[in-house]
Amino acid sequence: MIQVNQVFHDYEGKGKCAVSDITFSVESGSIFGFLGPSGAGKSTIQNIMTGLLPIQKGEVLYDGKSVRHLNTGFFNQIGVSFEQNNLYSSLTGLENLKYHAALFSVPTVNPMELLERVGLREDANKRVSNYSKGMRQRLTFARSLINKPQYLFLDEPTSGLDPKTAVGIRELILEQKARGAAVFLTTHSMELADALSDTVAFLYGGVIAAMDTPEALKRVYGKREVRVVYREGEEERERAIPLDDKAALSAMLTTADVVKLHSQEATLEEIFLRVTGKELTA
Amino acid sequence: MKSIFSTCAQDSKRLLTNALFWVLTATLVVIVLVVDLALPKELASGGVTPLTWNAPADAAFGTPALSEEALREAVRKGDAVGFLFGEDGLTIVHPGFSEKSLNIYVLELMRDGFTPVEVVSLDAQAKEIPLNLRLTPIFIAFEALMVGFILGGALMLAEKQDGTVRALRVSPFPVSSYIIAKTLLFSLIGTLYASLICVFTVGFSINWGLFLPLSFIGTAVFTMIGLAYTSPFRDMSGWFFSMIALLSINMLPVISYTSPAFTPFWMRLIPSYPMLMVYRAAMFGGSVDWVYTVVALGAWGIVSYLLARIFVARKHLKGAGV
Repeated sequence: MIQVNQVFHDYEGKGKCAVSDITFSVESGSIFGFLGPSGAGKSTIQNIMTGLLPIQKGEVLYDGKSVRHLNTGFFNQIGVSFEQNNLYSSLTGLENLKYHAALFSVPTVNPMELLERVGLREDANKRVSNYSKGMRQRLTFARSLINKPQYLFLDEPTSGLDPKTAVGIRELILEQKARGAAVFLTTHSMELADALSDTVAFLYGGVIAAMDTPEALKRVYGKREVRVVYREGEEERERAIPLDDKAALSAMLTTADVVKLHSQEATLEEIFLRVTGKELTA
Repeated sequence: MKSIFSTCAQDSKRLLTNALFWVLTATLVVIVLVVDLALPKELASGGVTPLTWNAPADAAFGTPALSEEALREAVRKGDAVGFLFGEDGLTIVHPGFSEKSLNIYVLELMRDGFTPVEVVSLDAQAKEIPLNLRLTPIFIAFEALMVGFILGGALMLAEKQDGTVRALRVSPFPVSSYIIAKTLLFSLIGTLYASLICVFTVGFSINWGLFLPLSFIGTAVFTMIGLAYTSPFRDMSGWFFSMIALLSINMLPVISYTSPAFTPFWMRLIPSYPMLMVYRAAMFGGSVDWVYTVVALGAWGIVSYLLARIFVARKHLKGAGV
């Protein structure tokens, strides 16, 4: 389990924190969706969690051990898929994975198997400089899994991928969760976060604006009503009926010529807008 | 060990697509061609400094030595010819010149009204070294031994620019292994380059037992200095020009190599100084000041490793198991 407790970070040391009072935990075998617009502080938190930035205030614990006291060997348990793919472009995809595998002192996954899973088997021996953006993204993701990490950090793992490939990547992420990894997922994609996350947190302006399970957030911020479209004569009319008003709902369904029924459950995008007053993509 | 050898292997593949690598390799070929074809061989003993001791006021040649012992030491090293004025007359002390070369000096002296009474060779084994070959240790020290400094730095900057250093920072790759991997690779390449320059200029008949370890250790020292030096830089522009300034300082011992009379103490502190002196001994014979050489190279080995460890950890692989 990863615990982040009251973390603050001030880059310039002038009292203006990029992130403030960030507290959450990521259980083993779960996916934590970290959502926020550019500049909200997502990368700062991930960098502090992975030891790339020193902790100024607060604490990050991995199974109870502070990240301050973890040694090099700790990185055997970490996998990071960066948003900006960072690969050796003069090496092939296979060489990139083989090299990265050699850095670990724990059993690693067969690189060809991983390439197969992310749809790059046939391009394994091509130089990365000849890869498309999406192919590089998949290779960066595959690299993060090479050491079967216990703690997996994914930054926009499906960004720029076609729907079919994105589904494959989602399956792989769920497999990591199933084998017990704690997955920290940073994304703009509400759909991805909704589909995969056990818990989501909205980061805005350096603070967590809301955090809960997607279902709980939808309950709190969504409308408990059904919007019914029905035909009256030649015209189509629309009416919102509260879910608690079972009689009205029943009457509508039995008497009216119903064309469409829409539940008014809020999407994560709408909840984010309601909580922060800003679009997620802003 | 697996991670070190794997890093060596992937760095060598990356080098093949690095323009600087091919520039340095082409420079190696140019050096061999210049030494073999462009530099004159006839100016034997070129660069030898005439030193005098106890010279009368009307002697209008040579540079006064600090002491007779200093004069003899400079001659012993093969870079000076000495003129000792004593009660019995003038003695020429030389590092083993040919009769032809000695005659040039004797004729000049006689023109000035001096007749040598004795000619002493301090190294009977020494042979006259043609100018072009005499310059080879300089080319080796400032080309072959520098491959690690230049190419190691170039690979580090490439890691920053393509972001791969971020992946290294979150991997269990210790700083020490990173330094060892780069140093090992470039020490082998530097030794190979130095050997090629030597073979195609001076030939095979040298002291390889001295030449090879010196090339390996010399490249290792400069590679580690280069890793430390490059760590704070983010791109090639600032790094390249300041690197040239640094390497210029490192080239100062060339002055002492060609004019041994000018060897102030601080010159002996520059890492290329002991390397030039040992290369000369390895390639052309002569004595080596072993105590100074071992202490100087040992100290630079330790200092360069510590510098590399501190700077690479803090400025390049920060966060990764520092």
